[in-house]
Amino acid sequence: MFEKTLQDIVKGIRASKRDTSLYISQCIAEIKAEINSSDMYIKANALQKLTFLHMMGYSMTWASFATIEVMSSPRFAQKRIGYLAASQGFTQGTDVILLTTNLLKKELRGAAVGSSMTGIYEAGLAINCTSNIVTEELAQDLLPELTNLMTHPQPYLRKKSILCLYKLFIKYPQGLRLTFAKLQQCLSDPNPAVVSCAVNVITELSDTNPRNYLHLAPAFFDLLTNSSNNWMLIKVVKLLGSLVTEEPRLARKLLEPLAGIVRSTPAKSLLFESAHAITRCLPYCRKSDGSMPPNVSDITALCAKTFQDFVEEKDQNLKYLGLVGFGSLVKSFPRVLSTSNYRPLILTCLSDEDVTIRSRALDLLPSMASRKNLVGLVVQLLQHINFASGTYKLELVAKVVEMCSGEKYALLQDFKWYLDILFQLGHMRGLDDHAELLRSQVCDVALRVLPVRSYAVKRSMETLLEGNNENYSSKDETENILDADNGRGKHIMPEILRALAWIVGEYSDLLPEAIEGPCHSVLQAITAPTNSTKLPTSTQSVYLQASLKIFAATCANSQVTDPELEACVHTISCNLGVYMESTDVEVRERAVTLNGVLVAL
Amino acid sequence: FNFFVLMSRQGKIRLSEFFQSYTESEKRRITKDIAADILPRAPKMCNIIEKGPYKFVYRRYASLYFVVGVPLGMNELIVLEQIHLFVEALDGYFNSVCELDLVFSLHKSLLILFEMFIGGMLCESNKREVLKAIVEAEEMVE
Repeated sequence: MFEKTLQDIVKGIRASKRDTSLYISQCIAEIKAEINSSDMYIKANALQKLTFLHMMGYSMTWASFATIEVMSSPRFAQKRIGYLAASQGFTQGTDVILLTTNLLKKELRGAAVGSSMTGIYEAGLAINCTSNIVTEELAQDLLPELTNLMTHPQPYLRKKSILCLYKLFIKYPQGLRLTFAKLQQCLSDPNPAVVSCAVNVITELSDTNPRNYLHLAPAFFDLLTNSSNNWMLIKVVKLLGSLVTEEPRLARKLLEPLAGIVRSTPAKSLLFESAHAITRCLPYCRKSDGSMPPNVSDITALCAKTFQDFVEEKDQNLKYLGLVGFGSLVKSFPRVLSTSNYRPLILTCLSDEDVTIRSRALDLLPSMASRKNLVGLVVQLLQHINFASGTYKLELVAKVVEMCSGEKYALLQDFKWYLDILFQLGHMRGLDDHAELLRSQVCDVALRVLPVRSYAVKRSMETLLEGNNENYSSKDETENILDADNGRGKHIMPEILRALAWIVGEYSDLLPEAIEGPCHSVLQAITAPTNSTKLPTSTQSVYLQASLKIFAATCANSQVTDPELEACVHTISCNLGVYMESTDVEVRERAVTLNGVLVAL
Repeated sequence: FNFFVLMSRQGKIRLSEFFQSYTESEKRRITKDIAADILPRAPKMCNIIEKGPYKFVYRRYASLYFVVGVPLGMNELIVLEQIHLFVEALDGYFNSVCELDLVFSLHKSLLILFEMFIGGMLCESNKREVLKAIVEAEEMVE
């Protein structure tokens, strides 16, 4: 007689600060006993408590049968508790769902026959529950009853049954074909809420399969121009936007009404949806003779202005949506963003604290770049990179590379400058994930662009000679040129060094002669054990191969003096010893080969 | 909608409704994600978090976070407005609702939720209609 009510449990939980789980286990034990009682009142109460605990994370699967008992109670209050428990606790795998079929059928039919409000609300409960738990068998069984309810005199039930039917269609696609005619009728229902529900359902359906709903387009066009209910308008706009992929002629027709909405509505949500739908239409507006209708440029400008306004707003959500809108717009009009007034706007977004906004702005970057502004843009981005950290930094770098190298370097005019940028990036810390990317870029440029090759070789050599010092934090930015013995060097990624060594090796005939004994210095730099042993073995093996190539070039070069040549041989043979003992097979093999060659000379 | 979760600032769930069948472990993962991503957000930040195949759209009312999971194509501003509708309905029913009301009357708030959203779609946007239905149903509880 003194069972705890839900209120008691909640109070109890709040009171038991330290031993909450103990208290809850006690409650659950009590519930288990109570739920088997024959008194429906006690049973229902227990179930209600259990539903609450279920939300906190405790399982209630063991109570499925009891749930069904409570659901079948004639008293409304208990029935309600039962249905609620079912919608929360039943999953697709609950086997007792089969037992509910008859019960649900009875409820749904009961509403159609009588007109008492109890019946209506009971049917409402049944629908609530069904929408959550429906399985394929249940869908098949309940389809006729729910379809009937679509034409029930009470709009309350009409709305609910339409929405619930959507859930049924997901599980039982056949059902859609059978009831579609009725669904279409609902579009002309006198009650606007019902129409809204029908529109909702059709919008969701057409997301996956636009073609089937094409013939409804005229009806929706009507709704678009006549209705003033914002909720529905948004869905209609979205639906029409998704239909244009199937029916290009629709695109042209839609432009004017949508533009009208954009110009007149005060509601931001509708504004965004319409502008977004316009961007979806634009790709399809080309007439069969290839020309664009005259109003397209106006409308594009209108969209761009709308999105710009959004981005300039203080509200972060609007900013985000503006960026999304731009992203959509550039798919059909890539040049839209390259006018200069958008650039500062988007760059400020890049430094926003909010990660969502930043990633959207980042996606827009490649479309903003053009031949003229690439340099300025990348310089500004580099500043951002300096301040950024973590994954965001990596994304920025990837974007920079993507912009510069896109379409076979279409936008890049000055490759020397690009090489400088790559070197600069190579020196930065924290970019190790992209080392491979940078490495391949450097090699690629050196390989393809002949005029820049000698410059590439020169820079590579300088950097190699600076040496790599991982432990030393490079606070000073001044370059240390040609100071091989000086341990102070700037940080540089080992992967890059690989690229550099390869470049120097391949094109060693381009080594500048202005510097005293270049070949020897380079050889010294790359073979000296102090420098190289810290590097990964892949780098080491490239180093060795490069030394061989440099040496060969040196021998072939008639300008090199004999003493220098001897010095080279000496250096190499001294330093090879370390490599020949290396654990890595490749390194060892190359070292031994190199040694063999030298000895043979 | 895919799901609707009300979470307090301390990470306690005050209401959770999943409009599709998710397994228990998926539900737990979602709850954890919400606690990890949304609770630490600063107030001025954007109310949208992109999370793979779906997005979180949330708004904070006093000490409660109202979080909705929606698929990618959905208009976020609409979702925010619908959240607001729900809050207004709760306010109307409880007369200036506070978190405690929700704690003690889970089933009532669930019923209001079901009046407004079926299968994750907006059923009734008029506050008066929603409250009328709830009150009438209450009268049938002897």
